[in-house]
Amino acid sequence: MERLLTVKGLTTEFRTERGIVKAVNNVSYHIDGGEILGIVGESGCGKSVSQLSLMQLVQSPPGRIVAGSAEFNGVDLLKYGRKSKEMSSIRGKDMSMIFQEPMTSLNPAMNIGKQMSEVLITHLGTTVAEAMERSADMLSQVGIPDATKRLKDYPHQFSGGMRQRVMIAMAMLCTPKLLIADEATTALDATIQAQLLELLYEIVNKYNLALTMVTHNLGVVARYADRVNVMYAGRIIETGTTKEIWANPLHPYTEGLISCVPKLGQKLEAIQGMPPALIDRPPTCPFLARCKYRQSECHKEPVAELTPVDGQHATACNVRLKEAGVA
Amino acid sequence: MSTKITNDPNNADNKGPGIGEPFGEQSFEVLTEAPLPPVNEFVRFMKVFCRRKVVVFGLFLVLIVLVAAIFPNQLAPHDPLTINLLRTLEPPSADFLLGTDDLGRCTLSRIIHGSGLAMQVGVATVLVSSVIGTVLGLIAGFGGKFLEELIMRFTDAWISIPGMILIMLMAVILGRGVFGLVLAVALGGFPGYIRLVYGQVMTVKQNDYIMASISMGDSKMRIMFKHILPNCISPMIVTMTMGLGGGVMAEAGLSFIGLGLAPPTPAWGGMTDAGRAHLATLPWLSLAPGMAIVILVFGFNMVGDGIRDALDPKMRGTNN
Amino acid sequence: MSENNVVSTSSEVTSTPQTGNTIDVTNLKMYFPIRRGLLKFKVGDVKAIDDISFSIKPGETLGLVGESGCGKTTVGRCILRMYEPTSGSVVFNGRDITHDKQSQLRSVRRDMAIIFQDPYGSLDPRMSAGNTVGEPLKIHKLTKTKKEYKERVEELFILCGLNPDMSDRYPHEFSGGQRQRLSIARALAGDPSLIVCDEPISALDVSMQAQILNLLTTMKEKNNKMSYLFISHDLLAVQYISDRVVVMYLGRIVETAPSVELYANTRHPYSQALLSAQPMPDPVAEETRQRIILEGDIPTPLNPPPGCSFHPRCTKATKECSEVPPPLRDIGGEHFVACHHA
Repeated sequence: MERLLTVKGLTTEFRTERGIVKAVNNVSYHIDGGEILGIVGESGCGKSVSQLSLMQLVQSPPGRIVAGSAEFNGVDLLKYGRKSKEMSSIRGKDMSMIFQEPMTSLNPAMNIGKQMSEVLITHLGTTVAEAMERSADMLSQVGIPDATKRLKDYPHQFSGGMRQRVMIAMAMLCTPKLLIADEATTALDATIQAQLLELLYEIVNKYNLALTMVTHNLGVVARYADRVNVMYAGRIIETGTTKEIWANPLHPYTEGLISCVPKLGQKLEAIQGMPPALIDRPPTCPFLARCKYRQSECHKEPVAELTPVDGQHATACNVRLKEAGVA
Repeated sequence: MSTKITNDPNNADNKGPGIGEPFGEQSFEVLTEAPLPPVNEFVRFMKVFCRRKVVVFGLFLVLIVLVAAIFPNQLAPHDPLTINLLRTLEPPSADFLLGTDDLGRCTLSRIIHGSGLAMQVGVATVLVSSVIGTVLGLIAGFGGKFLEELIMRFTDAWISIPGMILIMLMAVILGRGVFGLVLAVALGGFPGYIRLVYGQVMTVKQNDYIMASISMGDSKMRIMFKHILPNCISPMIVTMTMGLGGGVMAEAGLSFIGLGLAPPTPAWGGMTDAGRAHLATLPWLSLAPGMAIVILVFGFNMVGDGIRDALDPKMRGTNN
Repeated sequence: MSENNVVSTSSEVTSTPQTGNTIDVTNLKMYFPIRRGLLKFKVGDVKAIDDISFSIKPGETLGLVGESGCGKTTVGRCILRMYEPTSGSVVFNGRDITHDKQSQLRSVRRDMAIIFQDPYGSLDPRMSAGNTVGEPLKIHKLTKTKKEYKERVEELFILCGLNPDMSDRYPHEFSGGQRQRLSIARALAGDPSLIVCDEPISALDVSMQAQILNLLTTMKEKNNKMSYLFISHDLLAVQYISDRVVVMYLGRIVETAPSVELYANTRHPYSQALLSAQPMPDPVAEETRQRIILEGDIPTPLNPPPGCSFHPRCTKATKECSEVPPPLRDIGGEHFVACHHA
């Protein structure tokens, strides 16, 4: 598959009065067409902010993209201004995002049909009738019964799961090339979450889209993602195919994260401590304080760049890179 | 692995358990999580409070009036009660900075002496009405269905009577002393505090920590005073500060329509009223005490605004 | 667990049979009336809990799983008598507390505690961490001197992995995981025989979840008479911590079994679907795993479907299911299931 998005050195900062928070720190990754990429990490690790940065949706101020490039479909997204025409024509058309809380992304005072058709009219310049027809078609594709009738309904008339389906339909209206699901199913009940994930998976396969799944749920990633980026303290600390990472986690954090999930009959191994503050970080490895494999050199060396060890499998752990004879 | 690393002074990050200690096995390590840096609440409060210049200006105005109220005899150039019939209705001059009234009394001195009364009435009315309001509000919010209905319906009825009419009625009944005046204004204002406290109790009651206290077997009284009341304080302080201006206004209003303190006590409202007859020819007679009212009320409101911002729970725990 | 570890604190036992259990819930129903209109006429009931029975032995951890609206939180609150049940009985350490007044309950409350989901709402923002943890000690006058109180609070802090130097800080200065530790320390202060853990890890990050789960397990290892009612929608966590699991759907128990048995031999179609909906963090296993995707939304407990309340979403549903509510049947090995076809 051809390369769809190449992110290089993306760095996003937030200005606070305590200091500058580097929420995303020198993040580089890529995604190919038709691929499912999982981005996992804990809250505050920068997984959402990195995606919002690509969409140029980071609140500014206090947020600011300070460095990096993101080549999408041959153009650098980060060159465009937040409110530029070019960016608006990409957002929602070639690249769509689904958020955790659909109620905040939908206008409560406008019916679904109008909100959906507006997307089509602005991006594709269709007529109102055409837009309505396509919206209804999309709604039925995401499994909403009586789609034509429900176009007249307002967001509060849908249940949580149904609202998220509407969000998926809306994101899919212009058949984007890249779909970003930012914790899209986290707030839902288990069985509803399973429905939606399966729906998302079907749609992505049907239209051969690339999907970026931002989540803290390792199970979701294990089930659906082809490749995984593990993020910690604003950096990608490990990347590789899902199977590689589970079979042989290189970074101690990844290893800890996988063993953090309770398994029957096994003693649970928790990662001790908590994530570091992101203000005035020393250049050393951010996981250092919690790491059970740390060595004396770790306290002196700056954190390693994400370096491939074996094919696509790359890590940013100095110790592991040395063991593998790469660094 | 050596223990040398743990003692490495350059290692600011090393707050986790020491090397070689088993992780997870004996899970009682102290300090598995690094404490967040402490936040000085007072410093943060002052920082937010002082951020807006108009708030600081308001505080400055209030302080000026406060100084005048505390040291009227030192600050006033003349005696506020001395009648000098030879020098009546004089325009502002070097001798009388704000002129004299129709009995030849120094307007500036009378304003300075009136500031104490304005302050007292403002503070006293707020204290009286907030105490009554808090007690009734707490009872309504925590004393069972019957008391809740009784107090809240009474409050609704009380609020439906136009405030000024109520205050006037009270003033007539209670007489023209400071005590009567304060009580009249306080009785006009206390239902507002009932509603505020009641609403706050209702919100705080919803919190899990109240349920946790009940599940621990805490008594109602203890929950009310240990958990609910402390969490009602911030909005109370804001409303009280804002209410100070209202108290001053109400007092001025009463004095203006002749229901305030009996003359010759210098009261700002009464002075504004006295100057009304000469408004076309000698406007400063009314304008000067009027401005004094404006300054104090504006000051109180700005301070209240600043306190509200500084106590905003969304700001708590941050240093910005 | 043997019958002789009875932790009875009550002397005024009425006609309650002595089972030796920490909690016996029998035919519990909790209906919340819905009132509408000016005169607040009752127009119906939300059947949050509809006839459930279970018990927890001393030292046992009972997991309670289900999705939103299944009544799992209400069960926890009925046991703690935050609500007065509509009918049925709750027997705590041999004492029937179903209809006790709050004042009568105060002595019982020392023996029970609750840990909430929201680490932000469950601690009083105006009370210092030390006083929060020490609250049960003060309420029940468990310490005699100030010094003893301070020592006990310090001990609880250390026990729960918190720095005692932070005891005069306020809750907003703690992180989510630390606040949950404070909640646990507070719950442990009275040395209770039952802690209701109402989604204690759902609001936390993965690595914090594991820490809290480990803390809860360690606490029970230290006091093997203490029981947990662990309420969660996270099947993996429930499986890890519980001895026995109860699966609830729309106010009813659909399946209950020892943890190992339930996960190895899931019988109720709903439990199967719930288990299958939880993605396993293992890409190899996921590849071959059968996925059961349920159709439709969870019905509201205001108007549950007749018969088996799960039948509109069930793949095995027959005519019988829509008419006759299935009873909870014993299928051997302490495994009970409420399904006509299981």
